[in-house]
Amino acid sequence: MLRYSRQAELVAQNNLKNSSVLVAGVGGLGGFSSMYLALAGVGKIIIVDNDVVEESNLNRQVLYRKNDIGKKKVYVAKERLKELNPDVEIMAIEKRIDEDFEIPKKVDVVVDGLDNYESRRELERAALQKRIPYVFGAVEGYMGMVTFIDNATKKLEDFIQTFKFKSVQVLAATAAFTASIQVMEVLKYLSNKGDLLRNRLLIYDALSTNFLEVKL
Amino acid sequence: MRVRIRYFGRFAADIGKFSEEFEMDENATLKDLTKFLKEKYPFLKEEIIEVSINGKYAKENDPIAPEVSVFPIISGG
Repeated sequence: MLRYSRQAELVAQNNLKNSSVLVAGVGGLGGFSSMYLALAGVGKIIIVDNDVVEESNLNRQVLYRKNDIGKKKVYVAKERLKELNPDVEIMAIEKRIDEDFEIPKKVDVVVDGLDNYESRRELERAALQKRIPYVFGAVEGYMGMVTFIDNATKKLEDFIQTFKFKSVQVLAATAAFTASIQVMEVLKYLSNKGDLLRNRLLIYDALSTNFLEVKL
Repeated sequence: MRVRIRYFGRFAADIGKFSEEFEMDENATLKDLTKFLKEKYPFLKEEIIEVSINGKYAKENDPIAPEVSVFPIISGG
C-alpha cells in the first residue's frame, strides 16, 4: 500500500496490520501513542479511559478540541483516530483501570498512558497474567521515562517505591517524545527488530537535554 | 572521594543545578548519599530519591562511585 511505502523497509507491515495494541489512558501520553500507532497501521487499537475532556487537558492532549470539553475521551479519541487512518479498527472501552480490569482477548502489547501508580500496577498485573508485554511510560515537567516490561524482566515494584508526589505540570512536547519512545518499542516488538528497553529504564530530561539509561 | 552528582527532572529544577560535586567518604553507600542530600536540601526529605550508580539502578547498601545520577519517580500521563 502506498500509504505505508515510506516505512516499508523499517517495520513488518503485515505484522502491524495483524496486531492488536491496547492503550490504557488516552490523555497526554496515550493520545500521542494511539495516534502514532494508528499512523503506523497497527490493525486494531483498543483504547481504555473513563475521563471526560477538560479545558486544562488542551495544552497537551493532542486528540481533543475546545468543542470536546465535557465529552468522554474514548469516544472522541476513537473518531479522531479513525480520521487519521480509516484502515485501523478502533475499539473504545469506557472504563477505569482497577483491580477488576482484564485485558480483552487477542491483545499483543499493552501501552501505558496512565497518570497514577495504582492503575499502573493493575495494568501490569492484568498484562503479565496473560503474558502480554507492558510498555511503561510516565511524564512530568520536562522529563519522561520508559521501560519495556514482560514476564522475564524486572517489574514496576523493582524500581518504584512508595509513591507520594504528583505533579500536574506537563508539556505536550514531553508527552510526545515519551509516547514516541513507547511506540517505537511496540513497533520493534511487533516487527521483531532491534533491541528493546528490557531491564533498562530510559529517562530523557529535556531541561538539561540529557538521556539517562538505568539498568534495572 | 570526589563525587559528581547529576540531577534529573524536578530535582534539578528545585535544586537549580544539573550537577554538583562533593567530597564523600570512600566507603559511603547510597544510604549515606541520600541522607546527605536530604540534609543539604530539606525539601527532599519527603521525596523518594532514586539513584543510578555506574549506569545501574542502585539499592540502599550499594557503594557510591565518582559519578552518580539522581532522579525522581514520576507519575504523569
